[in-house]
Amino acid sequence: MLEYVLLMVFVVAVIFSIMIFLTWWQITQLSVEKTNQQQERVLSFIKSFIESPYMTKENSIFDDGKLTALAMIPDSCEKLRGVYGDDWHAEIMLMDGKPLRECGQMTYPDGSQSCNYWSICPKQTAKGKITQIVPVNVYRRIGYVLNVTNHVLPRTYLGTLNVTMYV
Amino acid sequence: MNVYQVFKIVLGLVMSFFILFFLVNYAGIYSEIQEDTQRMMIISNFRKAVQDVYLTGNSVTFDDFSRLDFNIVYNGLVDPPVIRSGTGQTIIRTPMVFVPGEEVMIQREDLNFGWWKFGFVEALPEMTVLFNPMDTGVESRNIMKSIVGLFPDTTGRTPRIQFGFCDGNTIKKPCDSGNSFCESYSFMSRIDSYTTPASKCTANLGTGYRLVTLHASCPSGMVQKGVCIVPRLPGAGYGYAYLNGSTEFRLYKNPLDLFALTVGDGSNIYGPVADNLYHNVNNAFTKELLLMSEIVSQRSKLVSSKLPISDEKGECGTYYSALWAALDMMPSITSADGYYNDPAKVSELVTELNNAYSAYQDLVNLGCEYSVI
Repeated sequence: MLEYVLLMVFVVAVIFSIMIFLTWWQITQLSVEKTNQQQERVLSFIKSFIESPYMTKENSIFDDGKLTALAMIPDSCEKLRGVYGDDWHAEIMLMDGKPLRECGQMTYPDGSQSCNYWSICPKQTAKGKITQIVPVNVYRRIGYVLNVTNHVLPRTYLGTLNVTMYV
Repeated sequence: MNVYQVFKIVLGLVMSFFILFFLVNYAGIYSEIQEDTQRMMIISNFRKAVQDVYLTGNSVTFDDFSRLDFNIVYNGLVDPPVIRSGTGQTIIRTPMVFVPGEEVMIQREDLNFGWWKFGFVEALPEMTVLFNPMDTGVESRNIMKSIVGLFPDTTGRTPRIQFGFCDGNTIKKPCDSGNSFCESYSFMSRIDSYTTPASKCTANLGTGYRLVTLHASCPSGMVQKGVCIVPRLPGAGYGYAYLNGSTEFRLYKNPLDLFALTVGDGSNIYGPVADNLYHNVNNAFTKELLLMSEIVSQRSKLVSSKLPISDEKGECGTYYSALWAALDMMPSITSADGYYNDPAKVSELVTELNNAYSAYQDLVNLGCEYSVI
């Protein structure tokens, strides 16, 4: 009789082990999938951002006028979150070697005091965050290149897009 | 056989039954969880494919829906829009015209308003669109071309999306000397050659067909299947369309409205699919229009206040004013729910969109602004 009981205990133990293993495997896979999706979300977000009609002149070239206009619209962050989802913060800064100066109504390109920084949606305090920085182009509607007829021509500058996703 | 042996057999049977029952139950639950997980992964892949197509403009075929049974419904009226499958749902923010099927062709299209391009993705299964041109005037032909122009050309690809005509009880295949339906590019050239008005389509159409009738008598409910479009009057910014014999109209103001009414077929939990698609695209269009018009209006005010000395004639400033005056009208025009089916509001919207288009083109022509490409 004892050998049957032992056999039974052994069989049940094996079955439970398999079940625990399968459940653990499932949870691990979901966890890995979640991490992958978070990474993908950041990359998708960046791709969407640098091709967004709300902020760019054409694909991959930000328009400083649209960026500054966004900064002047009071609830622009809420509206952009309706498009791109919650829990993110973005900064665009020109690589001009000058101290950062945020763009707005008063600081929009104006000679040597030109602004060079846009912050879209406030930073948040969250446990986890993923940050990515990518180089971007910024088209400046009122640039600083004078041609022979003294016309002020637009110009495209190099900058960086700094995106933080809160997870 | 003594009592003890009988007891051992009964105990063994009972234990075996319990273990077997437990295992079968667990396997069932595990299999269901696996299938649900796979379904969510397939929908997540679909969302990714839609976003990639939206961002790159490269069309793709997505056939993962054929792997499992799906009961997918896309709801673009909630914020944010979702795809529902069973009890699960996935947020999908890309503007989209989605008709579920085992294999769908995903493609990006744009509507260009001069100062802004509204981009959207269409995800369509295999279908054959039949036009029943009971009216063959210039406007009817333009309507057919604008609808066909939004479909992908599927030559050499799957799923096939093809076009033909319906005249009375005859389905006409206009390509290969009347032996096959046409792809979108080749069908375009056949539209102009169709000059004799067709009779009302009475052919027995299966589920893969979409019928588009063009006739002035649509409001009488004369066409029981598909969409019936009344050609626009010359100069009118909008027109009327009727679904499945209904006498209730749906206004169209751009090719996207007609496209949504054309591709939808059958019903789901939200009602007729074509009607859902019509509301979905208008909801996405309005949302993007409002934000874009606010940004571009604000930008126009900002830029014109800082115009360089070179604009000494003040021409740029004049057209910037015209641009933001038109754009600033958008919130009041679109404020009411379902404004896109109100003739007065749609007329106003089309007028202001045209004004904004003209003002922006003048700015481009003067060198004050860049072309939206």
